[in-house]
Formats: sequence, C-alpha cells, structure tokens
Amino acid sequence: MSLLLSFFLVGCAPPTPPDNVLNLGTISAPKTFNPVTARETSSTDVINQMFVGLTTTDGQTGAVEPELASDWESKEDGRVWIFTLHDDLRWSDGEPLTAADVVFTYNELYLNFDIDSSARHSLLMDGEPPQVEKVSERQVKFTYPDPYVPFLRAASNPILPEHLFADISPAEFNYAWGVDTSPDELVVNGPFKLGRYESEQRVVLERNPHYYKNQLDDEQLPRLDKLIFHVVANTDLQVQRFLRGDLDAIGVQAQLYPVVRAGQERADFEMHYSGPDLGTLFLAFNMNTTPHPETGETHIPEHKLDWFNDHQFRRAVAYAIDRQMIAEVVFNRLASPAHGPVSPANEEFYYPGLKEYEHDPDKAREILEEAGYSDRSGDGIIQDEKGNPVKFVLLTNAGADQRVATAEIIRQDLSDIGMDVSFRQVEFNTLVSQLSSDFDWEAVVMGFTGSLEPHFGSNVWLSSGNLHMWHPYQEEPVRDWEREIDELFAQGMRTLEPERRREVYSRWQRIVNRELPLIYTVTSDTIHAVHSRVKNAQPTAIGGLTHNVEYLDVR
Amino acid sequence: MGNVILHRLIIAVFLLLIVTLVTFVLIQMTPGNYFDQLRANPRISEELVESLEERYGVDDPVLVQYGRWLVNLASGDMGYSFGHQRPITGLLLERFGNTIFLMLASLFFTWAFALPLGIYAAVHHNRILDRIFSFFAFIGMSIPNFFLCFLLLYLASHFYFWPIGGMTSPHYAELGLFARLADLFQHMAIPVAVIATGAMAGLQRITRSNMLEVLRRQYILSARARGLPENRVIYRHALRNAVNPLITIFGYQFTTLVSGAALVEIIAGWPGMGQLMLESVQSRDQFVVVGLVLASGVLLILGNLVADILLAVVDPRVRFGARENV
Amino acid sequence: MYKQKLADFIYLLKQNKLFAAALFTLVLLYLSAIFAGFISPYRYDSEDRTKSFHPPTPVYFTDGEGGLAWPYVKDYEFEFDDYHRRIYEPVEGSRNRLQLFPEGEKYNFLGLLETRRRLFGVEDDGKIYLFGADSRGRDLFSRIIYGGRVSLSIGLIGVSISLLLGLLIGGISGYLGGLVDNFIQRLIEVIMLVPAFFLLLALRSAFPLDWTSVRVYFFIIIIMSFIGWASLARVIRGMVLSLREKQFVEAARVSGVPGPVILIKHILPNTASYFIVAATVSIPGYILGESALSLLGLGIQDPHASWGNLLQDAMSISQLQLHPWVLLPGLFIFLTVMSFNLVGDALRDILDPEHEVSGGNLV
Repeated sequence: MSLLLSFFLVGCAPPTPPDNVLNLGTISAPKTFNPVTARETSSTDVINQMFVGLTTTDGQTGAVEPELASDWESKEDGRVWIFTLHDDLRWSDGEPLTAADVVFTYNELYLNFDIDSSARHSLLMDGEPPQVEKVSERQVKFTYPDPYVPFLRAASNPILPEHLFADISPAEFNYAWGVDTSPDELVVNGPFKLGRYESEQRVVLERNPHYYKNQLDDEQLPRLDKLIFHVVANTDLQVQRFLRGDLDAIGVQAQLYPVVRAGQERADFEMHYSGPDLGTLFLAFNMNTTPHPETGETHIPEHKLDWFNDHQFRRAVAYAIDRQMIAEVVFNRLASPAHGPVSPANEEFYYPGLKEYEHDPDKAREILEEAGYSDRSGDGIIQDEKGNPVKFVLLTNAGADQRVATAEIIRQDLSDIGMDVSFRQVEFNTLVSQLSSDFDWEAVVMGFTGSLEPHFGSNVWLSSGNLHMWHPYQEEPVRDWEREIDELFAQGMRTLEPERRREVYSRWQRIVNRELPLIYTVTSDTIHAVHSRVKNAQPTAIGGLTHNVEYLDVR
Repeated sequence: MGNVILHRLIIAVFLLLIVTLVTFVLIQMTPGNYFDQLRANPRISEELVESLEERYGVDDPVLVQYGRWLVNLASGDMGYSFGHQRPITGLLLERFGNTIFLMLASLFFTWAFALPLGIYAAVHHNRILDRIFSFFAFIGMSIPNFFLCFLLLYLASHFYFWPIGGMTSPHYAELGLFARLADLFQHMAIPVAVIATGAMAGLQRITRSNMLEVLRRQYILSARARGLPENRVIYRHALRNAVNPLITIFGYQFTTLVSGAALVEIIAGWPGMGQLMLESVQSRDQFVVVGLVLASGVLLILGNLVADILLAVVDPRVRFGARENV
Repeated sequence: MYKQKLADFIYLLKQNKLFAAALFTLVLLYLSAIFAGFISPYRYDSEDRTKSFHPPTPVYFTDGEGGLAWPYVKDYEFEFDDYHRRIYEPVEGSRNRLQLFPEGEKYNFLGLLETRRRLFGVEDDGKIYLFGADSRGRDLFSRIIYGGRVSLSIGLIGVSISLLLGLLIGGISGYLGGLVDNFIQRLIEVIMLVPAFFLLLALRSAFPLDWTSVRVYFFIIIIMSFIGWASLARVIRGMVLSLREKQFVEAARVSGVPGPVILIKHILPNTASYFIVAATVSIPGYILGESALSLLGLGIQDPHASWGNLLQDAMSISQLQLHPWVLLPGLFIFLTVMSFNLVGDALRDILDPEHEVSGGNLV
C-alpha cells in the first residue's frame, strides 16, 4: 500500500511540458488521416492542420482567402475558374507541389465516383462535375457547364500528392491513410505533419518544415513545435482537464460556462467571447404528404399532416416557444433568440430584418382558435375541426444535452397552449433513419452546425433534397414557397455579384421566416477559454481556435 | 477430463453461434444502420451513403450478412468497424486489454483486502470488528457502482491534482517507466476503487462464512483438543481448507465483473469494452457489437471452464463437470 | 411449519435491529411511492423555470429574535453573478409558513378519487424545495417520491415475472429431463453467455419509437425478466432434480397422480423457501438495471421520473460541482438496495440456510 502511495505522489507533480507545444482536446479520436474520405469532425479537425487547399476561409471575416493559390480569376460569370499556385510549393517529403497534383486530386479523387469522397457533393453543379485542366505548371482551370459561384469555397478542399497515389485503385484508396499510417508515408502540405498517433489517446503533430508560409514570411512558421490533440471523451471531462492545466484551450459550452469561469480563480486563463455560433437549433414538423409507394397511405395519419401543413398552426407554435427562457435555462443566458436559417455569425449572408416571434402564448392560442383549433371537450387539450385532439410525439436524439433540454422546454410551452405533446429521446441513427427513410416521425428538435455558404445547405432547402426534412425527395415542389426557394437556390449559385447574391439569399431567409418549415429557437454564443501561456490566440465563431494556428505560440 | 473439456468446448462453439446470430438479428431489427447518421450532414450526398451501404451490405438479409461474417471469421477476419474505420480485431484487442487491465487491478485489490478481512471476521466471530466489517460489507455490496463512481468523481474534481477521465496524462509519452506506471495508477484509481468495493464486499462475506464453517469441523475441534496452539490451528489447518474453494470464485468473478464494469467505464471515461459497446450499439456499428458479444462470450466460457478445472484440481472429491447447479 | 417460521420472523425482528430498520425503510419507501401524490408537495412535472437549480430550502423554526415560530421558509430569487452562476438569495422579509394538508395541484388518489389535498405545502405563492430543484425548477423531492413508483415497482414486477418463468421452466426442465431438459439448459446458457448489460443495451435499442412511457416501462420490465429468469431456472431445476427422487414424489407417482399435478402440487411448493429469499435478493438487480438504462437516457423518459433518469443530471461532473443535490436520487437507490439485501440476508437465515443465493446483478 505504501508503495502504491508513493506511486501516486510521484505522479502528482507533472513535469513541465517542453516549450511551444499546444495541447488541445478532441471528443473522439480521428478515424482516418485521409482528407478525401474523412467524414466527421474528429478526423477533419486533425487533417485540416496537415493539409490545405487552393483557398481558405479567413477566420475573422469569413471571406475567401488565398492559400496554396496565390490568386485566382473567374470568367464567364463564374463558369470558369483559374487558380495560380504559389512559387516553389513543396510536399513535406521535399517533392514539388504543382498543378498536376491539383488536377489529380480533383479528377482522380474528389470527382471519382468510385471513391468515398464527402466533398464531391459540394463540387457538383446540379450533379455535373467541372472539367479540371492543367494550364501550366502553376495554373489550373476549372470549367463548369454553367456558372457555379459556391465553387470558390469548395476549392478549399485539401490537395493530395499525386506521386504517392498515381497508381492506386479507388478501392485501395478508400482505405489508404488510415490511422495506422506511418508518419513517413503521410505526405502533407499544411503547417503540421504527423508525429505519432497513440491509438485512441492522442495525435501528436509536428512542424512541417516545407510549409509554404515558411518561404513567404521572414520567420519560421508555424511557430509551434508540436500540436497535440488529446482524446477526452466528453466536454465535461475536457473542462476538468483544462482546469487542471492538461489542455491549453477549450471551446466552452454555455451550460459549462459557470464552472470554467469559476476556475479562473485557480488557473491563469482568459475567456474569449466571439459572438453567436454558426449552428442552428430548430423544431420541425412532418409535412410529408407523399403517400407510401406500396401501401398508398401517408406515413403519419392524415389529420396530423393537416395540422402540420397548416401555416397558422406553425405560426402559433412559433409564438408559443419561449426562446428567452431556453436561452436562460439551457444556455445560462449565453444564447440569443433565433428566427431564421442563417446565424448572425455569417455576416455575409445574415439578413437582420426577419420577423421576431416574441413569446406570446395568448396570441398563439388566439391564432389556433381562429384556425379552428379549440378545446371543445373541456379536457384541456385542443382539437381540430374534425374533433381530433392535437396530440403528437416530439423527438430528439439522446445524449445531446442542449437539444434534450430545449425539447423539454418546447414540450412544456406547447402543452401550455393546449397541445398534448409527449417527448422522447431516440438514438441519433434511429432518428436520422426516421427522418430520411421511414418518414413516420411527427415533430423533432434538431440542429445543424451551419456553414458560411448557403448553397451547401441545398440538401436541406431544395424540395428534392434528402435532408428537406419536413417533406424530402419531392419530385415537383408541392408548396408554392418551396418552388420559390428552389428557384432562389438555383439562382443563388449562378449569381457572381455579391450584393445580388446576398439579396437572393435574403429572400430565402424571409420565406423561411414566414412559412416556418423549421421553427428556429436560439443561437448559442461561442466562447473559448485559452490559457494565458498561449500567445496570439484570437478564437472566432467561424474559425475556432486554430484558424491562425501557424501564429500561435506557447510560452 | 480431457474428454469433458472437449465436449464442453464443442457445446460452447454452438452456443456462440446462436448468440452471435441472435445479436445479428437484434441489430437488424433496430431501425436505422450506421450510415444513416451521415445523412444528417447536409454536405454529404445521398449517393455516397448508398454506395457505402451497398459496399458493406448492411441492408442485405440477416442470414446473408451472418453467413458472410462467419466465412470471414473463419479466416480470422472479425469485420470492419464503420465508426472507427479500421478492422475490428485490433480495436477489440486494444479495448479488451484496457478492460482486462482494469479488471486485474480491481481483482488484486478485491482479494488483497477481502481475504484478510474475511478471515479476521470469522476468527473473531461476532466481536465488534466482525460486526463493523459485516456492516461495511453490506454497504459495499449495496452501494450502486454508478452512484459510488459519481461520488468519487465529485470528490476528485475538488482536488485539482487528481486526474479524471481517460487512461493517461497528456505528457504520458515523455515519462519514464516508473512515472508512466504512476500515471496509469492515478487514472485507474477511481474505477478500480468502485469496482473493487462491490466485489470485495461479496468476497469478504463468502470468505467469512467458509472460514466459519471450516472452524466448526471435526478435525479443527480435535486439533484444538490436542492442544495445538490456536494460531497454528487457524492458519495452518483451517485457512487452507477455507480458502481453497474460493479459488474457483476467481474465474466467475472475473467474468461477471466484465459486465458489471461496463457502466463504470462509461461514467469514469475509461476506454474499455463497456464504452465501446455503448457507443457501437448506439451508432449501429454492427460488427463491433457482434465482435464484443463474441469476445465476451469466449471470455465467459473460458472463465467458467478455468473455474471448473480449478475446482476439480483443488477439491478432488468433485468430479469434473459435475458442477451443474451453481 | 409456517407458524414456526412466522414466530422465527417476529423473533428476528426483535433480535436483529438492522433487519427491523431495513424492513421499516422499505415499508416507508413503498408507502411513499403508493401515496406519492399525497406526500409530495408538487406534481412530478410541475415546473417553475424562474427557479432553475433552486438549492434545497432551509426550514426555519425560529422567528429570528430567538423565539420559536411555526416552521416557515423564505422566498429565494436568483441573479446571475459574473460567472453566470445562479446565486439564490432570500428575499428580505419573506416568510411563507408551512401548511399541513393544504390544497395543491390536482392528483388522483390511488386511482379512486381526484383530490388536491397534499401532506404539506407552503402558504401563499411560496415554494418549498426540500431537496432543491432541477434545471427547470421542478421539485426534486416530489420527483424522487414519484420516481419511486417506477423504480420500486419495477423490482417487484420484474422479479415476479422472472420467478414465475424460472419456476415453470426450471421445474419442467428438471421434472421431464431428457431432450426438453437439454434444450432448456442450452437456452439458459445462451442467455447467461451474453454479458447482461450488453444484452440490456442491445434489446433496449430495438424499441419502436411511438411508445408511451407506460409501454416503455413494461418493456423494460419484460427485457429484464427475460434476462433474469435464466439463473433462477437453473437452481430450481437442480432442486427439482433432487426432489424428484424423494419418497413422497415416488408415492404420488405410484398412486397415479398426473405429472403436471405432481410438479405443481408436490415438488414446486418445496422450493418456496429458496424462492422467497431469491426474490428478495434479486430485486435490487432490477432496480439497478432500470437505473442504469435510464441513466444513459434509454429508459424512462422525461417528464416522467425514475431514480435512474433523475440521476442523469449527475452524469456531468460540472453539474455536480454546481448543484451537488442532484446526487440525492442515488441515495434513495442505495437505501433501497441496502434494505433489500439486509432483509434478504435475514430471511435466508430463517428460511433457507443451505443455499447461498446471490442476486445476480444486471449491472
């Protein structure tokens, strides 16, 4: 026992970590180091430190900035894009990085239908791939059949080395660069290269001496010697680890904010507020009137579809939700009410003039009454005109604390206006399969992480989209406003001029705000806690902590 | 005895076949498959999800999938984890190693404390310490693992220096061997304490009652009557006979603990089988689920078999294989 | 024989104070669950969001000037401090006296009549949070009392089903022997081969979605009984095997009593002692099983309470640090399990000293 005790005591004094190492946390280990096949943030968070593309997003402003390409030009209203690479780019193994690599990466990898590329979808224009050609050693030309403006952002996809993969078959490539890849084989072009991967524990990245900014600037970039991602299984434990000093920086969720903040009494760190988050949190109803192909019946009872398709019904719900209370109870007042699909964090496209649905249960009841929903039997539950009690099940995925708590509040708000709502948590996969293939759900609280380019949400907004949750896979838009949105999206991707483009997507936001296919709740604030030894940290809602990773410095 | 073992192993293989088949059927019964979650990502196309579903055949009939899995298993391939994007064998070995490491440490503490305490309690039957031990054994037996785990985590979070969650510290790789061990032990302390507490209480009670029973036997009484010193009677004669049968418990304990520790692993953030099971059941990572069921089934069978062999070795009166009704 | 056992029981009650205390605790817990509507000051789902994470309310017995007063509580209001923590401060001069048998929210008394009478409450608009409140300002005390309905009954019902199955299947297996016995034995082995917690998880995730809380509740009971009967059936089978050879069974068989009658009338009653003890020590396994499922968000769903899903708040260490009272439901689970173990232990001493019975915990 005393031997063990001495073990513990020795372990209690961690040695000071070597200089210039940044320790970050990640919820789960990366699944692959392959930038093309990576599908989830645990992998891409790490991969994005090792690989860069032609363009990138400015972490502060959200604007598209040059990366491997020093500049670009668009011709024919955005149908043709020509990128010029920096001089003398090199892979981490010293080989030159040229236009050939770019052409290979796009033609043979991202646009190859035999490869599991998650980025392909955003590169296709109405299902059509661009033609990618090498113009010169340093120039690449992308030609679409029609103008495709979102391409500029899609061009941030990482470039891969042709000299490693030239002869690989697609089937092999799908499994290439798994997490067991040896560091020498992982040839990168970003600020860091793989140092080592301790299975399911941590990824150690080291400075890439051939990083292109090294040549551009006077000083050696990145400044960090090492960047380490530690797997810490949940945000709660991450907070504990951060307060202990094991991690140098964390993103702070609103409900954990008080604990982190109180930790400032004991540890030396700063809180960075960067305004609203890019993500959204909303309530959706099943409006899917398409009958089941075999049984010929709708997926949920028709009288329920009638309610959910009733604009007044959704309006009443929008007024019934107490967004201020959600912000206060769920987010410790670190969130603000949201009324549309674009977060204020997206300065380029956010439309500030949307109608705000203030919490007003009386008004909600009034709307319902006028639309024919009232409590005729006197049991406290309202009925529609045919006498069906308004009763439905609200789902959200288990384990997502904020969604669960938000859904609970919405359930209570809706029962206050006489709806009989039962709330159920379901596993995420079950929920998604309900939404995308079984269609027999009634109401759901969901969220999207959000992206700066509205077009990348077209799976959600096009009436034919598979994520058009309330009524997916429509052959022809059923509702007028859906047709209008379809047209706006088609127009938006072809509009090069920023002001006009902004106007197109503003109209889309106004329609959503009016028709309420998704009823938005709140947008939470983005907060990071960063240890004082980390210099130059400027975390933002768009770019997180690592958008300027090459300039971060730990002293 | 060899025959009996062979017979048991053959039955075991059949049992495992049935169990894995049932698991497959269960997974297929549940709505949704692993790739469905990709559909919630607006940037991933339906066509990609479908091609993945087709490649791994997750929508094929259950029996087809099961047959394919068996054929692969025969060649040593346990399948592929969709969630971890790697072959399952390595993943399972890793997690199994972590769980077994945790188990061994817990068992060590369980036995190191429970045996002496049980013996002491029996020798000092009905005295004050015996009463106190019994009472604490009851508390230990009754306190839910997850509750004790919450309590300890809560306490630990107040002491900043005590690490919570995971297996190792960030600077683990830079440490020397000795410091690495210390680091591991620190991280294990909470889950081990929780698991050991429950197991310890039960073992202490069994040790005590076994010892009491032996102490009442004729040969102990006669040894005493012959005037042998009490210490010698207890520690030479009684102890061996009381403790020998306990060895068999070891095998059973090991296997029941694997199941019992799952929740503790989840709460304390220990990357073992329990965590993996929860995660893969929830994400429908089907081959991992089946792999875990298979592996823990094998563990259970081996544990029971070893326990039975030990019993036969320790107590020659017991015919091997006769231990049916436990 | 049973009279003797009863006398033993009463003697034990007097002799073993711990046993008496445990039995008393159980009776109290079950009574409070049955009369949950009456005992709890609020409904399980009655919320006041302005009282999010209200700390336990102290009850004052003095008037502040040294004199005694009728017990009262103060009103509390919170403000976010700089850290966005909710700091609750008593409102100056507020004094809400406790009331006995006040009118509260409507509830159904034993399914017989609707009433508003509750055991205690606070006058005016005051609120009493004996155990504090959860994130939406729901009274934890009331929720624990209501949650007891689920947690406590799941043990009883689950064990009854398991025992019935175990008795029947084990009995048949032992009595008939041969092929049937072989088949049943293999079946039992299959069930016992999968770690119980894994099986529980896998079975639970096969739930259809559109189920009400009541159905989820029964389904949980069924899957736990489905796992639980196996080990019981094993022991029963063993006992039947040896009883089958006893003289009185032989006698019955010779005099032409049909097999099923022999099994039910002559053999199974002889396993009763084991049975009672096994039931008592098995109950905690079911309570813990439900708790574990609900703890992981897979069991009883909000707004309905069970001790397990109440503990979900404790899954976060940070929540624990801020609001330690969310641990209280765990204390109730602990008390219940401990009481069942104590009672089971004492019952074994008088009823069935030969068999070492273990509960076979699911978790």
